[in-house]
Amino acid sequence: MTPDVLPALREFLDENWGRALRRSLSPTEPLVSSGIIDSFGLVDLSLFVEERFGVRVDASDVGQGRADTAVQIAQVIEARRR
Amino acid sequence: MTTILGRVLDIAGRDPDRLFAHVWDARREVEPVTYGSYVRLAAGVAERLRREGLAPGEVAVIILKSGSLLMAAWLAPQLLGAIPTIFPWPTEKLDRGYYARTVASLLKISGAAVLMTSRDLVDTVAPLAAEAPALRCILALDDARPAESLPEIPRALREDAEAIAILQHSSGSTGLQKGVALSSRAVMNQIENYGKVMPARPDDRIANWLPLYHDGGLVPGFLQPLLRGVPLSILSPIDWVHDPVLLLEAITRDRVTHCWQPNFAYNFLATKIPDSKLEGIDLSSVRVLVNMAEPVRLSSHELFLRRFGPYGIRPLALQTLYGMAENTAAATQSDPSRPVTLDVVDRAALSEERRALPPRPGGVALSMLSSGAPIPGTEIVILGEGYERLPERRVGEIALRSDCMLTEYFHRPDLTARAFHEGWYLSGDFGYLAGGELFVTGRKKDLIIVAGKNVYPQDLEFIADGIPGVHPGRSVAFGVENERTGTEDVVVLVEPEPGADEAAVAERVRAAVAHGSDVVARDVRVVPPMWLVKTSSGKISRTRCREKYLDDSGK
Repeated sequence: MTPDVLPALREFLDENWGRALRRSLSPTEPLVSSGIIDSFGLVDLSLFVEERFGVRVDASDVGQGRADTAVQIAQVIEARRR
Repeated sequence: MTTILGRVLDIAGRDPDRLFAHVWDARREVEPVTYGSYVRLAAGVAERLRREGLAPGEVAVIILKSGSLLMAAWLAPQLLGAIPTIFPWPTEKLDRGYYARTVASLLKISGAAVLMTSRDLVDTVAPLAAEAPALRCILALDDARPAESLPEIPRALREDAEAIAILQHSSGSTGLQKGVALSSRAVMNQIENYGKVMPARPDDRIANWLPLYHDGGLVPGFLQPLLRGVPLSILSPIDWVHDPVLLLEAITRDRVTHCWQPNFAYNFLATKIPDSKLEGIDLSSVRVLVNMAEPVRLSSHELFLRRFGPYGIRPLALQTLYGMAENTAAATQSDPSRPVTLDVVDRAALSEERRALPPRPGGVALSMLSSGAPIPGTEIVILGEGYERLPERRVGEIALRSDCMLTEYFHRPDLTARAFHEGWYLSGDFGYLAGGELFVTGRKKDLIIVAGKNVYPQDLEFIADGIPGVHPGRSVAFGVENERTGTEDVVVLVEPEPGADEAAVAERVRAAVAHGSDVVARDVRVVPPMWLVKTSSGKISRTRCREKYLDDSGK
C-alpha cells in the first residue's frame, strides 16, 4: 500500500508526539481529532512531509473527517507523489 | 469626550475613501475596506439589529470567522448604543457539545439579547436559546448588505464616553468566565496614551493576525489602527497558524511597520517556515514588533533576529509590552527608540529572597527582559503580602491604577470588588521595578498561558475529574515553560482509582482535554496514589505539584 512513506511518517510521529505519550503511535489511531497533534503541530507535520516527500499536505488535508491517522496521511502523500 | 463610535464616524464622514484595512485571505487575495464601506456595512447590520429591537445598554454577542463582516458586526451594536462582545469561532478539535455549553454560559453571564453568527453555526448555537432567557434572537449575517449611506446617530452616542461601550471576555468554562467592561473613555485614553510612546508616522501600517476576542488582537491590532486612522493588514488567525509565511507576505506587500504578537509567535515564525518560502520576503519596512500577552523571552528575540535579520528585521524593532484586558490592553511599553533593557540578576536572590540583585560570585545569572515603563495615565506599584508598597528591585504583586481601567466585570460586583485593593487593580502577576521599568518574574495566580491564551487550570482539572478511572478531586493541571516553543506546555497529572487501567485513563484524559478546552495537554500522567501535594488547608497545591513534577523530570 504505502511501503516507504508509512514507516518514515510513523518514525517522525513517534519522535515528535509518541515520545510525550511514552509509547509508539498506532498507524490507525486518530491523531488530530484525539488531540495528540494540535494546529501548531500540523505545521511541523506539513514541513516534514514537504521536505521528505516533496509534496504539500496541510491543514485542509489533515484532521477530523479528513486524513486523521498515520495510514490515511500516508495515503494522501502517496496519491500526491504519483 | 468622543466615543469609539464617534471617532470612527468622524473619520468616515470626513474621508470615506480613506483605507481602513486590507483583509487578507489564505489565497493571498486582498479585500480593501475603506472607512466609508466599513461604516456602511456596520449600518446595514445595525438595521437588522434595530428590527430585532436591540436596545441601548443591551449586549450583542458576535461569533464570526475573521474578516470584514466580523469587524462591521462589532461596530453595529454601538450604532444603537448597545454593547458588542466577540466570542471565538469553534476550533475543529473542540467537541461541539462542549462548545455549545461555553457559549450558553457566556450568553447567560452577559445577559446577551442578540447573537450574531453565520449559517454554518446556527444549528450548533440554536438550542442554547432555551438556556439564555435574555436572548431574543440569533441572526445569521451571511447576507448582510451595506447601508446606502453613512448613518445618523444621536449626539449622546457620539459623546457619552462614560457608558460601557464594549466587553472583552476571557475564556473558561467552570464559572470563571468574566466580561471586562470598558467605557469609551477607557479605550480612547488607552489609544491616545499608547500613541504617545509609539509615535506615529504617515507611512505607519499595522499587521494583525491575532483573534479579535483576544485583548491583543482587539486593541493594538484592531482598535488602534481603526481609531488612529492607521491602515491595517488583517489576517485570519487560523490561516496564520496553518501558513505563517502569510504574515511575512502581508508585511512585504503592504510595507507593514508595526505588529503586536505573543512571545511564542517569534519562535513559531522563526522555526516553521522553510527557506524556500522566504524568497522575495522583505521585512525592511518593519519599525516595531511588540512582544506581549505572555512572558517575554530574550531567547525568542534572539532566535527571531537570527532568522529574519537577513530579511531586514533590525534589532531595535524588537520591543516589549506588559498588559491585561482589565487595563484595556497595554500597561507598559518599552521605549521603541532604544533596545529593550536587559537586567542581569542573581537567580537565587530573585527566587529565594525575592530581590533583583547583581549576580553573586559563583551564583547563576539570569537575564531579565524589561517590559518597559508604564504608559502615560497608568501608574504601577509593587505590593508585598500585606499590600505594603515595596521599593525598587523587590519582587511583589504588580498593581496598577489608570485612566483606562475597566468599569467593572460585567454584572459581577463581587469579582470587581475582589480585583482591587484601595483603588489599585491587583494583576495576579509578580514582578519588580528597576529604573522605572517593569520586569515581570512570574504569576501569583494559577493561570497557564499557552501561546498568548489564558487557560484556567481549574477548567482542565474539572475535565480530568470527570474521567472514569480518575480518583475524583485528585487531579492537577499546570504550565511548564518550553524554551523551544517560547510558551508553556500544559501538564495534567491524575491519581487513579484502584484497579484502573492507567494507560487508558491517561489517553482518555488527554482526549477529553483536547475536545473540552482550548488547548491540548503535552503531558498527561497517571501518578501513584497520594503523589499530589496538598497545602496545609488540604487543597491540592498546583505550585508544589509543579515543583515535584519538575524535580522528577530532572529539570
